[in-house]
Amino acid sequence: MVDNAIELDHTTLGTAWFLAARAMVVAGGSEAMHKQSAGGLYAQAVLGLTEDECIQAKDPAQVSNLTLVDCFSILEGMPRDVGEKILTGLLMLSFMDRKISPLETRLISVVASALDMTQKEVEECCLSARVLADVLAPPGLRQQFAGKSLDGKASASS
Amino acid sequence: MTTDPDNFSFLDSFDQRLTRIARQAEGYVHSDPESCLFKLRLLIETMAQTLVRTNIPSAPSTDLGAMLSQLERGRILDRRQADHMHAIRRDGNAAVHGIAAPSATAMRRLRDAHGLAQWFARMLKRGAKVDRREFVMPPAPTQEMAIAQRDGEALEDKIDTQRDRTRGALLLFRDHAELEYWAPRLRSELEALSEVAAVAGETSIDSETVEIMMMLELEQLMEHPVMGTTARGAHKEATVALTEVRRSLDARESDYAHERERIAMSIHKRPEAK
Repeated sequence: MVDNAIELDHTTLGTAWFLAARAMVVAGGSEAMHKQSAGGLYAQAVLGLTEDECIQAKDPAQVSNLTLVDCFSILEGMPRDVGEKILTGLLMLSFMDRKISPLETRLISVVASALDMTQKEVEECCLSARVLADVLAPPGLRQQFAGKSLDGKASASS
Repeated sequence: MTTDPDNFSFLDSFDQRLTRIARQAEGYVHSDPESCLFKLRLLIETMAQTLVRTNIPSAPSTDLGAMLSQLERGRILDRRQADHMHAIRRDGNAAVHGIAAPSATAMRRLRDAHGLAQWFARMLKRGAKVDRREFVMPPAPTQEMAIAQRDGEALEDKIDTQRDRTRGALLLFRDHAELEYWAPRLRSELEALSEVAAVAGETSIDSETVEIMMMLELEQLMEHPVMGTTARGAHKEATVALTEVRRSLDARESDYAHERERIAMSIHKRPEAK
């Protein structure tokens, strides 16, 4: 990933992010507004995209012909720090409803593989994502999930 | 002499409380826009309470913002209805806190409320016949107020456009049609990818680690002997970055409020307006 790293323009970064983020919410089977807006907030707050760049990155003329394979190709050429941010953001979207589907797991694996990340690096991204998922969750949702484990039962730690 | 429009009488056969509140709001739209906005906020709060009670009775919150979020998450409200309800909530809150609003703002929210009331009536009694008449603007009582109304309308158009743009930038899918276009396509790509990756022996992430992280509450995570330092750093960084974005969005809303106040105050300076 580092060797073929290229200077990314923000629209390409945005296109890769929004395409991957859309795939993540579809994989999770929940396109709820709070997840969708978390995706946009993440783009602006963490990836540093402007409002205009976000709109341009999602412009149908820009993305309608792209596939996930195209998205992974963009990710392969990304600088390491940006790649980590993308993976962290995807994990965050997945963590927001505190459950993870097999398709989400697969997407995370493929993205991590495209970014050539080690298991340890993925775990670090998981940790940041877990924190971000909480920071970005609407208060009602946080309350709903407090003390719940993955299967929705009260956790031993609560 | 003008005839009062009859925008909300259709609600009578569904919920007479709502008719009463809506008519009060309508009556205030020119003479006291802040009271109109306050009444409209009450109107949508009453609607939201009914929707939560009948659709998601286990929902814990009685706060309007949280109730709207729950209704959005439960897919009771679509994007358009949620946008209108949040706009009424926001402007109603501003009115309660003494921020002056021109009649154009109140009129815009009254029109939103009319559409919401029609939708609400259909939700309340599925299959019921609901009056689909277009909203009729209550006429301004004086020429000066009509001029101020036009100035305010231009500002409200600008605000609506900007809010729509902000929302378009934030959301992953612009609208339901875009979601309908992308969801099956991405799902099918993901499924194909999954099959190929499984055959190729693609390594998966460590689900156990992910599960542990998900189960821990944020506070526990930040106090964790191994993960604590990274978690605290990530929390600080995320909070700073998000605060910055939220601050710029708030600043924009604050500019709108000042502009509205300016128009609202200008009408009071015109002697003919009284």
